[in-house]
Amino acid sequence: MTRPIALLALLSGAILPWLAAPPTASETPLSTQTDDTLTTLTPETAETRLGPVQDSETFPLAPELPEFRTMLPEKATQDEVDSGAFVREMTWSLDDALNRTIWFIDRGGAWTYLHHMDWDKGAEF
Amino acid sequence: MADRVHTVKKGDTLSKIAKKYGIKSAKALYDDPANAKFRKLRPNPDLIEPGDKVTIPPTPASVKSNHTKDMPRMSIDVNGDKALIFVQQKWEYTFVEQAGVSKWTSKEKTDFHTAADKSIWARWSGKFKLTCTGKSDFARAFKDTVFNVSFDIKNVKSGGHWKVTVTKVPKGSKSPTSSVNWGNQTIKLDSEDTKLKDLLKTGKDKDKQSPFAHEFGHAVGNSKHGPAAHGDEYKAGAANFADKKSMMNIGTELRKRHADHLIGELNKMIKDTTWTVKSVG
Repeated sequence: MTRPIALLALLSGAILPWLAAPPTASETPLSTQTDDTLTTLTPETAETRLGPVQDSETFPLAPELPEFRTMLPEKATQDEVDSGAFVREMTWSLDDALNRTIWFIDRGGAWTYLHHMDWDKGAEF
Repeated sequence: MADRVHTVKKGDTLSKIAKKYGIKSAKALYDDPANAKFRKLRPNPDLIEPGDKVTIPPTPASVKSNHTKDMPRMSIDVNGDKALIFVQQKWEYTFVEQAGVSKWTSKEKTDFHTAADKSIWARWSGKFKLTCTGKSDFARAFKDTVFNVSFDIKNVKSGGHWKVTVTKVPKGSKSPTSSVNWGNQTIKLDSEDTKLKDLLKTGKDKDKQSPFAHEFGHAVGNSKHGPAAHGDEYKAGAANFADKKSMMNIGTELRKRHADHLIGELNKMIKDTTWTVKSVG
């Protein structure tokens, strides 16, 4: 049986973060964000959430891409791959060890979340 | 080592002296910087006198021609006699499987290493032509030698330069992202890295990039975190972004800069010996 105090701690842990003010770039516990919270982001909301972008680049999709982007064709539709839809790649520094890259794809003139990867700052691809 | 000195006897010619000491020509002997005083004394190399002192420069036969260095990320053997620089990395593998994929068999592991080794050998070895200059006996003895460079990876159970984790993924599936971490000497590959990538979109096999060869490029020093301070070239901010055919971009060709780290290490190996990439094939 769950003790009341333990239940309270459990509830506060689960609920309090949602009651708190929207997180800012500096306080967002990024490492615990789920994919669901990322999939709704746009470049603008991502910058609001994650802070100033470190690197940004736009390129057309292709059936095969360099190692860093190798998973993108898998995440897009075949039409998008075939037509070379544009992808916007934005990278943020999460902390001393990790970077986060989010890729947005041009869907009907709007940048829409396509994929993301958290990666060791020391990694090269 | 101090240079040997030959005292000219009656009947000596520079050709005879050069031949005696294994020097390739009278001109090479006469023009050697160590014979500057002798040249001043005898402006005509055909007119030498008994009693003249001719300095005999080092020759391949008279110097230590083999040098070896083991470093954290690779070992280098310089073999003057064979005009060869042999670069070897010991790879210590860990084989893992993606969820739902069958275990690696022994043969698959062996085949994977063989494929990586062959791919790297074919794309990196015999391409760089190096020469050396300097005041060392080695540099003077081999100043006219063009060195080939070979690159090899060796599968080891322990003591590897690199810890290499290879993930087995379903055949024909999209290859997951492979990477190299210079700082902690780790490499991540997958079973689909055996396939070439048509990144230049020419449809020609010769233009297709080998993931092994590209990742090896990082491990052999093309890392922005290493002394060479340059790595991937395919991102817009990279200095060589426009050089699409480059191995560290989306192509297959090696450039002189891809040997920057190797050259840096070679220059530390033999005192007073400076190496240069003469050409890249």
